[in-house]
Amino acid sequence: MKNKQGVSRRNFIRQTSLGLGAGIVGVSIPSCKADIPAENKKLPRDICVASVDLKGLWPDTTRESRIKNILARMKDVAGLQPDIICLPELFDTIWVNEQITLSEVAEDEDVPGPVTSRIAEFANKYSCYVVCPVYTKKEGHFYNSSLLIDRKGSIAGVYNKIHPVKSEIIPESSSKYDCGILPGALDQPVIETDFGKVGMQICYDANWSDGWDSLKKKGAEIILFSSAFPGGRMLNYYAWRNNCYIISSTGGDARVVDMSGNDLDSSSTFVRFAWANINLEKVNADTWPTNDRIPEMFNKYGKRLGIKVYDNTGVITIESRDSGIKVRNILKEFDIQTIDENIKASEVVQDKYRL
Amino acid sequence: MRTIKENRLPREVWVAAISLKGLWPEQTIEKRIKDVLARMESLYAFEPDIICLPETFQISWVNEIRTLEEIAEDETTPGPVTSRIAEVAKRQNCYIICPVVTKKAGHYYNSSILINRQGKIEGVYHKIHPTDTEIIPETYYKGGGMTPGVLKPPVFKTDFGTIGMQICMDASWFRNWRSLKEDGAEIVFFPSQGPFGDTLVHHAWLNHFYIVSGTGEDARIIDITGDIIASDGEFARWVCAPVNLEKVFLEIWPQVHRFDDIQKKYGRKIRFKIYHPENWATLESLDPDIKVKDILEEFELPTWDGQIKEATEIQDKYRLK
Repeated sequence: MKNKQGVSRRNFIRQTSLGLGAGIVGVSIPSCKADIPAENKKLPRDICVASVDLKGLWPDTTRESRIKNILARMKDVAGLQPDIICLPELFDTIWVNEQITLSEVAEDEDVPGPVTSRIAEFANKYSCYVVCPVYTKKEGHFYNSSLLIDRKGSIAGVYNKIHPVKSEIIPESSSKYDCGILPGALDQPVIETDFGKVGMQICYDANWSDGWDSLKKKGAEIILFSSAFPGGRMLNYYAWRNNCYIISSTGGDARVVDMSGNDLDSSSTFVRFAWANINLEKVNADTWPTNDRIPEMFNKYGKRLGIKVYDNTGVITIESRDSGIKVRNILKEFDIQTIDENIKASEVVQDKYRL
Repeated sequence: MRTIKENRLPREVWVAAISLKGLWPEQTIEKRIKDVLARMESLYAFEPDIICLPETFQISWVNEIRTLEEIAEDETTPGPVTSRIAEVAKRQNCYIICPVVTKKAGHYYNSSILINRQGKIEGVYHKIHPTDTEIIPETYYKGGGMTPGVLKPPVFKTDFGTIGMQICMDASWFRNWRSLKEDGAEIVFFPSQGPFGDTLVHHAWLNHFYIVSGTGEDARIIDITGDIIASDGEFARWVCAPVNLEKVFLEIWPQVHRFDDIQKKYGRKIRFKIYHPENWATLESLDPDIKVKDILEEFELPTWDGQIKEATEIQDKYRLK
């Protein structure tokens, strides 16, 4: 049996088998009628993400009190065994009354400093990545940064805020800071983790799309947003526009935003963290013309695919719920384009016929 | 008795739209036109300044199939369908966005014709991003295909402000909307088959203009912040509401400290609305004699665009090369 593209089911199964591959003799791909994976069985690209907010912790009197409060809040989510936890922007100094100077608080970008070490210890103990936003110093310049700490407690990468506010760069006379920070480079890398590529953005960056778009182009699957302000619908927009998950940790809330542009979880009055299991084996497609293919996909794969249609954002998310199925192969089999591919293909036709 | 219009603020515009929901599939083009005209009648009591109709409203999901040659209308002189809509525009003294297929220099376009209060054609917008099936001849339309419009969409000056238009799949591209904003559009009208939900919400706040949509599924009026001002529903397949063009979009920080002083001075003559999660605010004048621009000047508040421009310049100056 062949579909419209002439891809036979047999070849498709062979392809997915090779995708699963990896020299496992005797691996069999479950047939359509096979049992779906048990609910608690972790899929290859399923991860748990979490973030804590600062609500209720400010103003804080001392940095020590703040760090302890944050570590306590982090412990609240440790039981979820998260793969990554995101902390709020400059969590050890923001809205803390203690007088400090940048030279006193700025940490190294490569070797964990006093604050980063304590967060790194947590990362190592709970075997998770942590986005640790602190001031950093490099070659005599200060930055508002997010350090990504890996599961062993080492620094895996750093992001320097591209778009600080004016008063961060040129401190007002009333400011407690002795000098300003520099804006980060416009082109910053995504960071490879053991579950996928991540990027980071900080606070005022939300008013510019360049940083978000650049991370997407480099393959970021999750963007971690540490901030003083929550960002609201701006984050829903960036998630939808860039087809990626956003995890936010801010002074007002914490959220997990799906690639469809919808919230998966957010902190609340009694729970000051957000978390979700997210699947990176998932893509966004346009509802039209993908809607035509949904019945066929449902019929063939049933619960082995997670297909969700979002009227509000015009998006269909398609995810694999079976370790033997790669979502990329599903797109190929049913001749479905991702949103980006659809836009590019449409432009080719439009440009050809435009006068 | 004073009419609604006499009570309006100088830059208060009553915008309206209808959806096609419940009118499809329809058997004949004539029936569709009559149904649309009937639906429009609910709006007239509001004395709307402008009404937006849905994309290619006379043929979308109509079983009667005609060739493009048979249905395409002229872009300067109202054709058979446009004439009937133009009559309404003249009688109701309002502008109407009339989306029909047009023909120009041998090419067909999926268009929105802007009809003015006198029933004359004021301008035309050609859909920039038709779907492949619309473009490739004989795929969706009989007797040809649509030519995509030029990449830069026009804006039009009306007696209440500057407006632009986008159609359906145009929603998936950002540059057209940005171009309208750069050219001063204050309201963008969106005739469409699909409703494009939050996509329109995002285009509104990204560009700080109002959006009025009339689609196959719904009709909505969206604020410059992305808030939904009005949407249609089961019991009324139309929307009509005022929008105030004497309103600006602001970044909260750091000028929020001055908001209290401004409110104390102007009291109920102005209105701030704070969007806490996004750190945005809007400021609008509710008094015919007060212009928001004057308040910004008086209290040295930057516009959102002005603030972002200044911030970008400072960042670029201090960023290491």
